[in-house]
Amino acid sequence: MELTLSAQEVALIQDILEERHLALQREIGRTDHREFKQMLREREKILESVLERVRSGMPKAA
Amino acid sequence: MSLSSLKEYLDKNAIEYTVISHSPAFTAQGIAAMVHVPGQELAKTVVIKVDGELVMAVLPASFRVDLTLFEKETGARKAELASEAEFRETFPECETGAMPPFGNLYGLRVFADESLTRDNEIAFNACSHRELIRMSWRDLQRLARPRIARFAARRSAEAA
Repeated sequence: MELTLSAQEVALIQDILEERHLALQREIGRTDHREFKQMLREREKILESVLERVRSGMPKAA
Repeated sequence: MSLSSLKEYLDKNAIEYTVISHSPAFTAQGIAAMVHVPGQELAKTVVIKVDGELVMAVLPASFRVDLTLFEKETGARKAELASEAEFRETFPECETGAMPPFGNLYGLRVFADESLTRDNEIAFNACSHRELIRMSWRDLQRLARPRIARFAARRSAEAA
């Protein structure tokens, strides 16, 4: 998937992802169910990877 | 919890479920009729403070929690409805009143009204007032491990 975004759009998506990242971290902290916590951690990894790419403004090499 | 994380959790547990999208409605009966789910099968969750501990009560959406009955059934000295501020942080992504009945994932004990056990299926809000999840009662029991008790009372005409 390739998506071309303006600088303003990138900034907006970055804000949304950072907000979601914080919420996810809080949720992980509150979860004491091992399996569910692991699932959320996997989602966090994906989110961090996307966030990193958005921050750099460059698509990650395959 | 969001709809997507809830779906992922159910998928990982090989649960069969359907997601039903509907336009926002204000009464449980309206939603039940709209999505063709029997009223008794449509459940809601209420967060209750039991002797200072937050717990989740699951009951038919058209009923209310009888707190006196709840105290009696759980042996609690005091049961009261938790304020939104008290549980908001636990379900930051869920719309108020649309929390799915999986409080156990966040360390909340879950209590289900006995009347829900009469149906094979259960439907509940999936973090929003626009989406329902319908799944088997048995699967919900397996995942949420609710304690079954009798605490639901019919709403009065004024309260409904």
